[in-house]
Amino acid sequence: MISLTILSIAGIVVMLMHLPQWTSIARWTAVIATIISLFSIRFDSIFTLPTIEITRSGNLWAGLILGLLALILLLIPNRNATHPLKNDHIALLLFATVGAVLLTRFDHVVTLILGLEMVSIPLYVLAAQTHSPRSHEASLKYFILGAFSSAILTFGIALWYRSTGVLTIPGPIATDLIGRSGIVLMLAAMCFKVGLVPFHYWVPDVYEGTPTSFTAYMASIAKVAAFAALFKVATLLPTSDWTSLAMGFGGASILLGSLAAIRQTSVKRMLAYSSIAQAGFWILLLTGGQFSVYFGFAYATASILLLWIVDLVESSTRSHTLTGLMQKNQVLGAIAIMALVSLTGIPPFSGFYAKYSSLFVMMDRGYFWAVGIGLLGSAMGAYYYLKNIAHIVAPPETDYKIDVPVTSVIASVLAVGVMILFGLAPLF
Amino acid sequence: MAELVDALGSGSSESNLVWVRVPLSAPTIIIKMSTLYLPIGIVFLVALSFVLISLLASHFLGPHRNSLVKDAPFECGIESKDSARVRFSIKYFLIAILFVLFDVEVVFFYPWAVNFQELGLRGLLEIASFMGCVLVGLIYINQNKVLNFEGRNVPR
Amino acid sequence: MPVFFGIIATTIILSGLGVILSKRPVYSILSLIICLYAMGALYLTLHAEFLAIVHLIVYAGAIMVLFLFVIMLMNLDRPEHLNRSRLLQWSALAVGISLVLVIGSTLYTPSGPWVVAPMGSVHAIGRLLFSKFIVPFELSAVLFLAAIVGVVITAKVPHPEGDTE
Repeated sequence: MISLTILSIAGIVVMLMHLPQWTSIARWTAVIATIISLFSIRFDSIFTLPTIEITRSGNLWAGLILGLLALILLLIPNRNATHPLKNDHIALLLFATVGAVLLTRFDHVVTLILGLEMVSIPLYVLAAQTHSPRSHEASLKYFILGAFSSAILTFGIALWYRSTGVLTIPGPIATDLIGRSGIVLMLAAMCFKVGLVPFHYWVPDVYEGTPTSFTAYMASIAKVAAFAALFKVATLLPTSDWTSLAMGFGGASILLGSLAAIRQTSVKRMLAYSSIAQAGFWILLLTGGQFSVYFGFAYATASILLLWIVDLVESSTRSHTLTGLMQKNQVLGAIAIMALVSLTGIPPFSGFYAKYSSLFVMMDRGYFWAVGIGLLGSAMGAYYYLKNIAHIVAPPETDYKIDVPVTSVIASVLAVGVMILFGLAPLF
Repeated sequence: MAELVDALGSGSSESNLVWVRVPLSAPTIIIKMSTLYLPIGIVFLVALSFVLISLLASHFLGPHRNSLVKDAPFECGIESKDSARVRFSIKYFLIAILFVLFDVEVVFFYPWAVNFQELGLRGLLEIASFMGCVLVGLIYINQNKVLNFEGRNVPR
Repeated sequence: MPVFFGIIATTIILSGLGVILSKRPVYSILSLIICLYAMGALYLTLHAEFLAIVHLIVYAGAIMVLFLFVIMLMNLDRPEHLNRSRLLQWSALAVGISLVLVIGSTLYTPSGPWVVAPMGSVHAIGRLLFSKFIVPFELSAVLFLAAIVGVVITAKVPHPEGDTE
């Protein structure tokens, strides 16, 4: 609870810094508050409050979320393609993160719903911040579908309550038809939030229309938090049911996401489809233990770095391609290549071990067809990620210049370092 | 049934209400209900009958003289062309939305006011921190000049 | 009691039909307000006083005002602006019927009659809200703040110079 309180107070303070020249102060306040609350996670268990459950894996998820938030806050450019960064945006990111941390430690459906709404509502608003028709379309699409999925979640909770008479999660495993269909409805709503295949239609349009700085948040923290909650809700189903459900979602997501990603020309749309495929690999891990946190770290860090670079290039060229980045700025080019290699799943980076562990889980349980789909998806992934690396190394088409603040470069190099460090850690 | 009550909390078991755990079909509940809500029902009836009576009275008591000129919307000037429902500025809508937000916040004060004595200092602190957030929201609205309707800083 | 229930249920059904059958959106909303009032009365008969009050204050009072505002802002109050395709109407009917079937099937219970617990009273809810559910209560204030910030920055289109001051 201490970390949540610090984040909320920081959000309130940042919200009131309304003058444009205070924006950098607001950013540093947010960064410092995030780091303080990151270190206060371990003291959260001092106070035990009802409707909040503090577990070890929940602390890991919360640590991941706060670390990613610090990275985003350090990287986010002062001005993206169309509008300046304002203190309101930083405050909304902090409020959304309060919800994300709440999703790692709920133990009652009230906190689950509240957490999901707290993550979603700021994002609906942030998606519209470019004030262009595309951005408005993205926001409206996200809002209507998100509201619909919240309604489905609530209906599922009602059915589950009808069958068990309990509102706490983890709770009794549902055995009758009504209870199980309630939990499946809840899981469907969560799968919408993470963008798994039958519920993925919003992902490409919303990712493309949203200002790129906030797409980075959407693709990382919102997804990590929703996965933390998804794995917790999934414990209400019998293991065999959950395994077959997860394999259905995962297999379909890997295939469809990879197939669609191959055909994209815009980097943002490619990342949107590839995030569907990555979510497919993620859900094959089946539980919210440390492997899932590791997967979240590997995927989210690489996505944040890539989208940050897309954002920087976009504000100079107004286009969503990375062609010729290597000649324009070698540091950014190298970071983008390393992030893409990590997403592909090639050994020195953490992306390799993440993909490997999800295939290992499937192998361990004896589902070889799921392993086959995973390998096929990895091969397709290698094709489209490496195609983008080829674009980065190619000569530039137009002349443009990129200025990067020093702090952002330091933060991104640190992030790449941690990515390699954690990629090598399982070997020792 | 015990599960149902336990799920929502233990607070309700020692309730001082008369009709604890009585089936809906029992006759006692009818008497309790109807006497309890009788004043509210009377208020509703009075409000409804005031509207109906004043409408009917003005219809029957007022003189009726209709003519083409009298029914025309203007006595002089340009003929009216369009619907009276025109699009209006977003700032009215902004105020409506902010009204909804503060309205929902007021809803939370009601259960606190009912339990004021019982909750004591702890309840006061809890509602005060909630109030603090509401106040910050109000300061923010003021900073952004949402409630200003004149001048160049009006949101469009 | 059956008389009360009969009056309330008839009101709900008639005003509900008014919502979906009337030609003008404003009339639909007025019928919806009547429907919400009747539902509030239904909550009262179930001893859910707090829910009834919230229903009247928030839904019939505030949300419906927003609905009216949206219709006036968008000039929806002309039949030609509305999309009334057959496919939409039939799919809405199908969704409605299946919802009734699902809810109806959950209401069927083999074990005795339903009973009403007094846990919906304002008193009981207040005690729960300030003890067991204190974390969601305080965090909902933060959610309200996020909503206020969101409303203000969405409605406030930046000036060409880029700054608001």
